[in-house]
Amino acid sequence: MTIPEKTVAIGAEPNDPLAPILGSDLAAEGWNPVPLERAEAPARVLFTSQTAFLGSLLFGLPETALIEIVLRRATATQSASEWATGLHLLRQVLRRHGDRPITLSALSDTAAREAGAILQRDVGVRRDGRDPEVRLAHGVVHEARDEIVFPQGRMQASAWNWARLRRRANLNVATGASDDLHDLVSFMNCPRSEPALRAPRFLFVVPNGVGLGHLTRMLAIADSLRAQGAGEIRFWCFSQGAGIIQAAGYGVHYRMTARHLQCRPEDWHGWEVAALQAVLEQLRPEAVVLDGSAIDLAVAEALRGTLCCAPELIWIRRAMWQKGGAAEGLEGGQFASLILEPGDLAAEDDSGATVTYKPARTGLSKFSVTPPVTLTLGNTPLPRREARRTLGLRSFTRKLCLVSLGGDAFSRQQPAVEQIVAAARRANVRLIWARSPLARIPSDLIDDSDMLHVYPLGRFFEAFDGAISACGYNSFHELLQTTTYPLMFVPVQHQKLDDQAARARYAAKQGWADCLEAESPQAMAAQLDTFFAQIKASAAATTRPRVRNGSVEMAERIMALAEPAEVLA
Amino acid sequence: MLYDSSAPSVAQVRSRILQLCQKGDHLLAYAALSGSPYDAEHHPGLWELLARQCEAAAAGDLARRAREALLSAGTLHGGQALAHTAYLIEIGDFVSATTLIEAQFGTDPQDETARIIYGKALLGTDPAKGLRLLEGLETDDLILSLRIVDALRQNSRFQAAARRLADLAERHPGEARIATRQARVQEQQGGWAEAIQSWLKIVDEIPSQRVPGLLKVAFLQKRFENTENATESAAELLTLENPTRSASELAAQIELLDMLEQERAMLAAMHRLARESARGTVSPALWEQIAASQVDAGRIGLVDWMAKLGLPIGVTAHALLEAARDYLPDLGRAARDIHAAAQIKSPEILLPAFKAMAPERARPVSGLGNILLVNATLAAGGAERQFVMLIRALLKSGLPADRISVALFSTAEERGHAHFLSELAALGVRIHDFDAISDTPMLRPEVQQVLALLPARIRADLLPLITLCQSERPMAIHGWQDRSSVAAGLAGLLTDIPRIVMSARNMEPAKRADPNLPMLRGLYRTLCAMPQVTLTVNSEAGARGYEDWLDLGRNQAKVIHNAIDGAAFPLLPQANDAQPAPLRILGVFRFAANKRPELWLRTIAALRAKSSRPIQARLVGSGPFLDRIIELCNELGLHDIEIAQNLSRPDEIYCEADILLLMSRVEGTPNVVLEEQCSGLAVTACDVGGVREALHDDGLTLPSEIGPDMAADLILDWLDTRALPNPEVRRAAILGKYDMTSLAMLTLGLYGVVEAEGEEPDA
Repeated sequence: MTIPEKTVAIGAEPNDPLAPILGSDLAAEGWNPVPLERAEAPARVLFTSQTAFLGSLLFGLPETALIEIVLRRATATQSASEWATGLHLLRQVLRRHGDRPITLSALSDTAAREAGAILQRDVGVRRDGRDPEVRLAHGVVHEARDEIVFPQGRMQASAWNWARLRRRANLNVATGASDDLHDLVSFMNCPRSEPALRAPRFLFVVPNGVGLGHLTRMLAIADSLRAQGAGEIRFWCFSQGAGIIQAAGYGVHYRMTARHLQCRPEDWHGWEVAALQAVLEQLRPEAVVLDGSAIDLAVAEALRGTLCCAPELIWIRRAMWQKGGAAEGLEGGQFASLILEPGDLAAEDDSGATVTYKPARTGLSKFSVTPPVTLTLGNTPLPRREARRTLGLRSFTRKLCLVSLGGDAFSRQQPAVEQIVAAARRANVRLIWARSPLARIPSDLIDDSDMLHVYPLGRFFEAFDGAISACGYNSFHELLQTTTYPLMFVPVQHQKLDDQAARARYAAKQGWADCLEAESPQAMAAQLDTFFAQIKASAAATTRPRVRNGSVEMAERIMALAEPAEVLA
Repeated sequence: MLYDSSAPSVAQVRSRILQLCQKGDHLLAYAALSGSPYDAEHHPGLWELLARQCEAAAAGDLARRAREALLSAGTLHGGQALAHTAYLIEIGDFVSATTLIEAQFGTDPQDETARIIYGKALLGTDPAKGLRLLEGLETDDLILSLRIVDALRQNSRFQAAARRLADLAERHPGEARIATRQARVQEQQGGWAEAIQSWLKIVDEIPSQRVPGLLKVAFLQKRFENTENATESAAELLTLENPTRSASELAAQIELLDMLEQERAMLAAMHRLARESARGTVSPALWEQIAASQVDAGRIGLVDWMAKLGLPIGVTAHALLEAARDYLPDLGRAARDIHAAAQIKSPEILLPAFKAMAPERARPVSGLGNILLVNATLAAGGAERQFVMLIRALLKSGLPADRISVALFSTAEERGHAHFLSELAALGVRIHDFDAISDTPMLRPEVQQVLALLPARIRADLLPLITLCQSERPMAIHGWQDRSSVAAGLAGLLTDIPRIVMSARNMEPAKRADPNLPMLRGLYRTLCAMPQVTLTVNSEAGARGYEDWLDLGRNQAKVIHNAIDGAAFPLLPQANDAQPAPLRILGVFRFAANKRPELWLRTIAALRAKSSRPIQARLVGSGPFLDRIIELCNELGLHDIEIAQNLSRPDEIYCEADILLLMSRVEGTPNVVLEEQCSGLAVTACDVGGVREALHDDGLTLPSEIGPDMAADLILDWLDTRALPNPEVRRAAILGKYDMTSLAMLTLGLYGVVEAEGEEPDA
């Protein structure tokens, strides 16, 4: 039976863990939960505590709605007298509202009895005598230090929305917990209302990276998810390449960072949380998928929102961080349900923080490495002739070499660019420059007719006889896995980027490609001359690795997480 | 001055002014004069003429401008000076008003009008002097009358204020400003029950005063510890049927939740208000009001939270936050979490700053300097009596009277704060009332910054005390009871006084319902850790209670017992133990909630019901619960209970009694228990605080939580099994333990004046 969607207003104290639990249950039962202050003529109003009810009296109560108040026992910051006085006050308020249908319930028998004694009214128990559900994880809440300890790791008690936590874990409390926490934990161990089955929805969060690496990887995963039957996928995008996502057929919320807006980070944080929560409340995705080297706290906070239906958080985090770089971003792992690392063909030489650093809190996050992820949809290599025709490359006398050095690479790689141009001239090889859609700085070294403005580039790889490329994750893996012609990697050193030098050196060590890292201009010229000679000789590599695209496996794992959680009994 | 021959003459300008004013063109008249060559310095007559004409036509703003021109030129005199003074009073600039009128008419104006206006100005700058000028004045000016009433209240002259208000009420029936002041005066006089009735009447009859009235009623009922009635009034205020609530109504509701200690509900309301603000539905004035009250309460983190959300908290609060920047912990993004923000409070955030001011070791005391003793008041209480006893003991030990200064937050007689004042004055020590200290202390800017962040209540106590310390330069400062101890400790720290003594008098602070106590805890703890500071308590149980509350080591709080003057409490005639004679039970305590007068009366009723022997009861004391006691006597049929107030002579208090019954919920070392036993009488009391220590072996301690029936049973058993004799033994035991010499010597030891037992004397 389908229950028609009706509005229920939720009145809750800020950060009350019970609010998202009840909000999720109501949504699963077909109600449309909205925050009390935004509710217009709701059919019901549910206050998740008596304090939320008392605090809302200043604003008046909706005229016609049925009102329900969940009576709570004293919290850790509430004295016994504060709690009792609050109930005395509630009793008097209820007396004054004698003609209104107000239902009272509690989370436990004790709470119902104790509150009922002061209120001199019957108080129902929400748990309804149901036995606790046994879940896979078991944690103990240490209220005084705001922490939950699981056998597999610790997390801040407020790291997860508790409706989300309820899908994964049973909880217990450590000694000294407040009465309210006792009730809350035993309530959340009970079975929950199951939502109707539907194709899972996703919100992808794309950070403002230096290049298009994050965006490309997320598009690859989104495409795979769509292929596996996902419902709506939307992007929350800080990258200036948002247009690429839109062109790929996804809805995009284009965002600006505090630096772009030139505002105070704390102000930005507040706006960001509010805006993201509004989208989550409307989209109600099963999971939020974020790609980046850290989980922005605005995302973590937004996910704790009362009415966003507690989506899972999946963190796509590639490896190969620069050695000695800041590692604190890894502490965000506790916010995630699943950390997926796209495999790196150079992983053997990874000496960055993802390999060496052990975060203090990992919570319930599971970690998994997939094969390398590359963009496939819309990126299938075209046959050489078609690729050249599409690109308008009609040179049949000279070999063509692709040069792709990343966004604004020309300014950073000026000496190398000059050397490449000179060496190509000496070898009579024509250079075709791929310009990143994000590049802002024009270069006077290059004739515009030799400049490509295409995305994705992978489908045109066959048009060339060789390639010189930066060594970002996507370029590295796409070129290595789809080409056989000579490759030369030019690592870009940037504090925000991965360890491109290690990756390029590894490829050179394996004999997969050359690495342009000469000690002197003369040595560089010699290295380039050798490379262009290979192109001229149409040399072909035979040892490059061929592995399946990890985006499919990532999508499978994400889909599995978005399914209802496994319950033992 | 040279005049242009083409310019109009003075007569022409004068005539033009009159002509324009007659036509009602006062602005043109002003422009004509301003544009003429005749300035106010050389031609004040023209400007006075313009001012008079504008005044007469109710063009007050132009009249004021004309007078300001005269004032700048130094030619504002007579009637115009008076008119301008009246204007300054109207806009609340009492200082300028006082200066102007004193410059014109001196400090003793003979002119009647000038005298009245001078008095009005003084009400804003020197109310006591203003009152001297105006008190006898018969006037129909309601605003002036109310100002006089306010000045009387400010000077704690409540009876005179009440008389004047009664007179005004007859002439202006239903006037809200009179009715609310009457209720406030009743409250200030300690007539809480009467004040509640007045406020309830106001709530019923004056719709505009319903919100403040209900807030007041709830507040007073809470002070009565009457939760039922307090929450009933609060519920009425919270459920007012008014869809568009004004800023003051919302502020009152938030204040109400705070007052009822519903902090979480208050935070929930503020959080929602902030969201509503983002939609522009909340008046900016409300946030300014809320911020001011939260600053006063020390909730700096909450004010910072408001500021971070961009709420309009006002210039003052912003300036304060700027000063607080160094002391506010960086919550990062959690700063937007209202619950985390609400945990950041003053004085806690200031404790490191105070710690940093502490010397590494106590400064040595050289020679005999002044001693400054500090207490809140000299009300009729046991702690106050012991305060006077301490001074008496110090004098008796040989400390010269001119070396002792006493600082009191208030000695207002009509507030009941002067009960022991004449007794203290007779001892010849210097007495300083904070009300008389108007100078502000000289402090380094960084110290001023810290003090500005203290909760209003603590700051108000501290500033005059620092001023006093700076003028007295005592060698030791000694605070008596919690509030005064903390003020004395801080003042001593900030003015580098070599010895600081804080004397707690009460019991088990953790169990007391005083909402202000948690605010003092951090300061107490910080001060106790300083080398020049000693904490004393007047009983072993009390000392352990404070050590537990403040997380101090054992014996860090020193015990100095009360003292009793045996001569003042001679042995009374032996009790009448004969069965047919009535048993005479005495209760001596302040009529306040923590003394549990209701339990006392119900126990008497139970004793009467259970005892074969007639029971006579007598209550001595005063306090806000008097009306409730009378009401309950009638309810319980205890019509014959004698209630005696304002007795101070021991023979008046303790005569006609066989036993003393005390049912307090909280006690320190109750003087009445010592005095009664010194007079030879037996005592039964609830086992709270230092009662057990104070009771002689044959006394009866009742469980602290007990009902009247069980209390009566235990008392009757006790009376059956023990004899009332041995008054001499009882007296000797008490006098041996609580003697004045010990009190003086131990205290002087703490001041560094004499060698304290087990301690090295100061150089």
